[in-house]
Order: sequence, then C-alpha cells, then structure tokens
Amino acid sequence: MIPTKTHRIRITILASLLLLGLVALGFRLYTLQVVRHAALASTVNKMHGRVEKLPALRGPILDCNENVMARSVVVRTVVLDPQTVREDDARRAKAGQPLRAADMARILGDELAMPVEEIRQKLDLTTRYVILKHKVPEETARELLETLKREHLRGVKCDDDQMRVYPNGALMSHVLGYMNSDQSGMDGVEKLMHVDLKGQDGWRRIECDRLGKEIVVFRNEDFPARNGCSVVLTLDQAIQSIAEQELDVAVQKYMPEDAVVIVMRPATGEVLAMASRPTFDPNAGEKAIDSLRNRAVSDLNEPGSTFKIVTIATALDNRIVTLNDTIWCENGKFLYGGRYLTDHEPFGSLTVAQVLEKSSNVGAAKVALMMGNAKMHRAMLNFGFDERAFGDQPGERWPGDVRGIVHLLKSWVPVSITRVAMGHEVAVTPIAMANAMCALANGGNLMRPMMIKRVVDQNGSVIREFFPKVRRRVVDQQAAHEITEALEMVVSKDGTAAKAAISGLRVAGKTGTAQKLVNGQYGHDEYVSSFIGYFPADAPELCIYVMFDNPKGKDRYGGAVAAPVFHNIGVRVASYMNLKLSRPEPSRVSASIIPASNHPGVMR
Amino acid sequence: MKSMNRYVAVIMVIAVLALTGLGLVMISSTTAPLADYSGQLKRQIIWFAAGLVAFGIVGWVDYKSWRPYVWPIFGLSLLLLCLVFVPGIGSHVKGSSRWLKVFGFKVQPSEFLRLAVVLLLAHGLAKQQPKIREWKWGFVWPLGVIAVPLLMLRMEPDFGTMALLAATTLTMMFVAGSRIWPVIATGGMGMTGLAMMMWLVPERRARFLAFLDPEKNKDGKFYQVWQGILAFGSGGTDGLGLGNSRQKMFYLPESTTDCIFPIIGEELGLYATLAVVIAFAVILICGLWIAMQSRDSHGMLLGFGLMFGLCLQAMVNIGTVTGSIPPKGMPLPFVSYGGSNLLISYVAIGFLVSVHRESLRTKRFSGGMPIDDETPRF
Repeated sequence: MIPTKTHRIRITILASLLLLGLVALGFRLYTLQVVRHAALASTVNKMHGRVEKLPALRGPILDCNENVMARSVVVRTVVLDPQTVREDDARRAKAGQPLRAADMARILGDELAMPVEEIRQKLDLTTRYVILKHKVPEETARELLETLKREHLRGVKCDDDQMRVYPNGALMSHVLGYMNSDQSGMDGVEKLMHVDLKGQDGWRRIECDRLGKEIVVFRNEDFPARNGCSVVLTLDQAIQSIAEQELDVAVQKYMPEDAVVIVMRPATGEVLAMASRPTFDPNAGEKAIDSLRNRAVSDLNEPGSTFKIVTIATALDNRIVTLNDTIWCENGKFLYGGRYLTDHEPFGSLTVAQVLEKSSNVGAAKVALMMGNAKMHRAMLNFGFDERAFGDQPGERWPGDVRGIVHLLKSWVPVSITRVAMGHEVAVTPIAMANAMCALANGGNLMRPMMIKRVVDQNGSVIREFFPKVRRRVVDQQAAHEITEALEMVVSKDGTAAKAAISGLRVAGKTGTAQKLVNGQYGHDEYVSSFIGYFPADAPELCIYVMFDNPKGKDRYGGAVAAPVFHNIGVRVASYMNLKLSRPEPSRVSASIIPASNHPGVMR
Repeated sequence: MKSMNRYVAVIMVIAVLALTGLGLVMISSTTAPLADYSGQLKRQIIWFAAGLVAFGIVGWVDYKSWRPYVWPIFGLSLLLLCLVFVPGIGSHVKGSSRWLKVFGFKVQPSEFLRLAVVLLLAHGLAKQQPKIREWKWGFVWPLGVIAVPLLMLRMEPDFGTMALLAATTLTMMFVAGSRIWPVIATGGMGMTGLAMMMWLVPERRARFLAFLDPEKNKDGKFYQVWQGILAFGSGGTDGLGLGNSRQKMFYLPESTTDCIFPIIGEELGLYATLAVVIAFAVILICGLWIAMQSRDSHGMLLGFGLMFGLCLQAMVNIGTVTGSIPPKGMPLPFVSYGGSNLLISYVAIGFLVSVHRESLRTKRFSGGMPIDDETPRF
C-alpha cells in the first residue's frame, strides 16, 4: 500500500520531536562546555594536579684537603597501608583464595630484618600510613618492592628520605655537630652552616591518573632542587686524628673528667684540630647528653698560670718591665691585701723571664701590681677574654661559644689583681686562651679563630670564602718577641714543662695548673692542668692547647700531664707538616736559681 | 528538491562514515595509556570492515526480498538472546547477562533482536495496512510480537533495550496509522509503569534522584556521569587537544564504549560535540526523508523504525553522559567501541540505502506513479 499523507504527517511529528531533543542536547552541551567551563575545569585540575617535592640532598662537610667528614645519602622510609592489605584479603576471601597477610608480614620481616610479630601488630592498625622502618638503604627498599610485586602483594610504599653519614665516626664530632631526626643540624658546623648545607628543595607540578600514578606526558613546569653546598673546614683530618689519638692515650692514663685539645695556626687563626672528651659518635641514634658539649668553646675554666702570659706580655708591651728586671719573690709567701699568696716552691729573686720559666705566682702578681688595676683590666679586655672567640655576628657565632668572665673593674677587691695576674678570678674558654697565645706567637695580632674556609655550591664554584681576620693588635712586635724568648725557657730543662720540648724544634709554651673550686673552696684535690705552646718559636706554625680537667694520678700539674701530650702531638704533626728543624737549643737568659723546698704551691 | 533527493543517501552515508572515523580516532586516543593499546582499535576496525560488507550487501539487495525471512530472523535472534543465559557461552558482567562470547568477540544479541523486531513489525504493519485501524492488527498484534522479547530482556535484565524496543514499537504503530489514543495510552501506561518501578525499588529511586543533582552524588552512583560532565567542562570550546584527555586516565570508566562522547568533548571541545549532534540530526533528517519518499508503506515503516531506533539510542547516550536524563547505559552508534552495535547500525543504514534505491527505481519505472505492494516484480 502506498504511504498516505497521514503517514508523512505522523513521521514529521516524530521527526520534529527527535530534532527538538537533539537541539536540547546541543544546548546542554553548550551549558557544560561554555557556561560551566571555568568551574568544571578548575575542579578537574584540582582532581588531577599535584605538586611533587624534589628533595635536595644536604651538602657534605669536607676537611681542608677535601676529605669527606660528613655526607648525606638517599635512603627510603618504608610505609605500610594496612587498609589496602585488609581490603585485598577481603577480596581473596570472597574469591575463596588463601589470605596473604601472614605472607606479607613474613616478607617484610625478612627484608627489613624486623620481628614479624611487630609487623603483624602494625597490620592490625586502622590508619592508612604506618611507618615500618626509617632509613632503609635504597637497595633493600628496591628488593623489597620487587619481591612484593612478584608475590602480588600491595599496600607497601617507600618514601624518599636522606641520612647523614659521618664516615670517620667520632672523629671531629664536636666540630661537625650532628643531625636530629628532622634533618636539621644540632651543633657545630651542621648547625652554623645549616642554611648552606641543606640546599633548596625543588618542586614539580604533575598530573596523576586515578590510581595516583603520575601521567608523565603531562609533566608540567618544575623547579629543580638545588643540592646543599659543601662546607670546607680549616681543620685537617690527619692532624685531628693525631690529636685525638694522643688525647685518648692521655685520657686513658689520667682519667680526667674532661679533656680538650686545640691545634691552631697562629699566623691566621685557623683551627687545624679541635677535640674534647668525653665524645660521641654522630652516627649513633642515642647520644649521652654530657658527651655532646664541645668543651673547647663552651666550657669556662679559670686558666691558671697560662694566663701569666697575658700579665707579662702586657707589662713588656707597656715597657714597665724588661725580661732581665729582677723581681723579689718573697721566698714564696707574699702578703698582699691581707691575704697570703704562695708559690709552689719558694723563690728569692727572679728575672721576669724566670717568673714565667718557674711560673712564680708572686712574681706575676708583683708585675701586675707594677702595672696597676686599670692596665691589667684593659689588657684582659684587649685579649678578648670577655668576648665570644668566634664573634657575635649571626653566621659566624659558633654554636655553644660563650663569653669569658672578666669582672668589672669597679668590683675588683684589692687582692683581685694578684689573683687575676695568675689566671684566677677570671674564666675563659679553651679556644679564647689558645687564641691569646696565638696572638703572642704571631707577633701581637689577635686573630679571629677560623673553622670554615669556604662554601662551595653543587657546581663546584666557591660562593663564600673566609679569610684570616685580625681583630686587633694586643702587644707590639718587640713584646711578642720577648715573651717568646721567655716562653722558650719554660720548655727548657729547668722550666716547668721540660716534657714539652721537641728535639730539633724551638718550642715556646706555658703550663697552667689551676685549682678547682670544690664546694666554694679552692683546694689541693682537683686541678685543671693545661699547657699551651707553639713552635717553631722564631716562625710559629702551630699552636697547641692541651687541657685536662681534674686528672688523676700522683703528679697532676700541667707540666706533667698536659706537656707530654703537647710533645706527642707536636712531634707527629711537625713531621706531617714537614716543619724544618731549627737550631737545636734556644739562646738562654742566664739566671740564678734559688734552691727551694718541695713545698707544694698554688700554681705552677 | 528533486536533485537533493538523489544525494540524500550519499549525504547520510558520508555523515555515518565521518562518525565512524571519529570513533576510530577517539578509540585510538583513549586506549593509548592502556597496556593493550591497539587491541580495541584493531577489533573495531575488523567490525567496521564487517559492517561495510554487511552494508554493501543489504544496500544492494532489494529490502523487500527479506520479507519472507522476517519470522525466521526474529526466531533466530530470540534464540541468540536465550543463549546469554547458557553458562559458558553467555558472560555475566555487573549483574546482568547481555553478552555472548564468539571466537573471542563479544556479541550483544539484543542488538540483533532490535533489528529483527523492526524488520518483523515493518513487514506485518505494512501487510495489514488496510486493517490497521482494527484492534487486532493495529494494536494487539504488534504488542504481542514484542511481548516475548520484552520478557526475556526483563530477565537479563536490560531495561534500556526494553524501553528502546517498546518506544520503537509504539512509534512504528503510530506511524503505521493505528488509532492514536490506544497507542498514546499504552505509551503513557508504560511510562507510568516504568516510573512506578523506579519509585518503588529504593535503589532505582535513589539513582533517579541522584540524577537530579549529580554533583552531590559524584562519589557514589553518579560517579561515572559526574566524571563525564567534568570531561565536557574541562574540554570547553576548543578542547585540550587530541590525546590530551585526563579523564581517560581511569577517572572516567568505559571511556571507549558508553562514555566516549565526554572524551570527544574533553579532547576536541564543543565544536566536535556539536558536530556529532549535527551529524546525527543530518542522519535523522536524511533517513526520515528516505522513509517518507518510499513508494510503499513497508519501505517507509522499515526506514522509519530503523532510523528512529538509531537516533533514540544516540540521544539516550548523549543525554546520559551529559547528565540530562537518568543514566542508561547505551553505546553511541557508529562512534563507541562495540562490534555488534557497529555492525547492526551499518545494516540499518544499508536498509535505508536499499529503500532509497528502490524509491528512485520505482519512480524511474513508473514515471512517478505509485506502485502498489501487490504489483508483480520481475
């Protein structure tokens, strides 16, 4: 039958309806793709986009010969998602397959060397982020992930982390410092140079698929990580090693509470070695709190007789005395200001040089009295004993460095000057004392001690360099020469520190044996024994400070305890540094020596 | 107008080929991130080739020559539909059995059923044209024919195909000239029944209500539609560029089949999506033009039924992915990945071309005079 008009009309009606529907759909598309475009697009971008962190590797710490003292390595943190493991097992249970949680615990236990029981407990937690183990080596983490993939187990991932490694263990630990668990430096170089060392984390905008994996083709703009800079120290690993070995031997022998050794270069103020005992291994997780303190910069001690160098040098500088002037030493018992001052053995007349050689307290006190309070106080400030040795500026202030204690002049009592002259009623750090000695050694310039030589960025270009800095002149050249002459006598056969002599080298130095305050009383039980010396005396290359706090044994004076350590370190370091041997014996100022009883004195 | 008439089939076929080409490109783009990145594309090309062959045969052969076979074809498609319930042959996906696995290809028998029903109804309604206003032939017979397939689809269950089949049947009855009011009443009853079913089953009701506010339900039942809407929105006017879809990275499920249209929107933008809608409008207009130009009511009904089914399917798909209607899973004809749908769609186009050829031929031979169904052919 032929289609009629009715048929056509009915088709047209339906066709119109369908076309209307298509137009409506077209309008709907316009609404979605034009009107709501901005809102929907931003929703989508939020859903896909992510900012990934590109971690920067902390820079290494190097010694002056660029030996690695500390470096960072990439490690992984193994993280467990117990929820995924449970979900997978629920699915397996549904499909009638064996459950795998136990396998998971076993594999994790094997690979991470952890007790399986602990992992089982963690698998029962309800959070989705359970840290299984920190600081897993990259290799182990990769093996673990491969094993799990082979076994079709899900729910374990490895996050990026880094770990600080100190290849030399405890060597130089107080200078280097250590890291806490948040990867920030806690002491020493790690703290002072943290900003330079840590570098700058980078980032990258990425897009992820629904499974959270990056869609690499849509990788967006990024900012690469800038790895941390290398910090090059003035310290020398070899010298440090020698110093610490000798220190350890002595510590074994004398069992002091604390011990400090510092090796410096007088001409520049560079610290070549710095160590204190007790010490710690910065690699270790737990450290004894008492061992963390860098006693060389943060412990204040009354220096004792080593301080006489300041008294005598200042007097020489002010031309108040000459080396050959004689001082009447009251036969070892000097009444001044209503208090007796004694020597360790009674001396009659001594030249100024001999006052140092024999370490006469009375002699030093009398020289100070000749100068007067104001000059003496001025000298102490001049030598920087009330300042922080490394300075106060942010960026140079060494962590833990403290100011010495120099009492205000107005609070001095009449007897003070006689006590200050021999290193009591004043407290200084070992580094300040060593630095004062360096100033005399280099001809009178008080230097700023240096630990850091330069900072080098990841491309090897030097971004910061530190140069020797003269703080001020403390004595003139002549006074420095004269005091060196006198100090050479200290290590002569007749001096207090004969054991410090190094054959073939002209050594100058000064012993110190300070009484310690015990329960508010100076007694004869506990001493701080020290020795500071430098050599070769005519052109000093090295200044070595050795200090023992409360050494045990029969003979505990600085000349007996610290001087041999100075000698041992000096011999080895001189050989390492190829120091030329100078004339065998120094010229000597002749002097008559008053026989003395064996009466134990206060100072030596 | 007369010269237009000659090219109407050509225009339609060009639009169809353009849609298929777009589909192949988009399948290639969407499957790129998958491990088996070329598998779907290869299979789709094979089905496309098969579709072209079927199109050629059906288009070449006079559509009237299939008339003796409409009942066997109907029976065969019912048999195929039964097979989805046979374990081992039929496969069970997401709680319904809709697929047959044949030589590694997945086949959806309901697609064949829709074709068979249109063939059968066109044949029957044309044959009964003089008695079409009688209850028996104009109303009871066509509804009786689809009763069994509807029941079987209910068992699968496949409500989408059910609704499509019922809608096609009712509109064909309407076009064939049965009484208007019973048809409208039946349609209304069917819709009410559907609404009741939807309202009474809480899960379906929830799904319907979710459709009203896709954003609120974006993590649950409406996840897929919401992701589709996001894809359209993020594409904007110009699109992100071919291959740059983010939503295909496992955010939008079924992104090569039912949800290929949002990916088109995301990668190619509003211009492409509107072009697709316009292409379907062109196919619809051309197809119905052909149907109306047919010199016999069989050709007209066949052409209309096939074209209506095709277009409705496209509209349901586009309506679903844009969140305009309650979600119903249907492929987008010619574009979506899916072999049986592509094949059947090409067969439908083949029938329309055949109807067109016949109408041109009869016009030529009869000088424009109408030829009755009963006019003997040689």
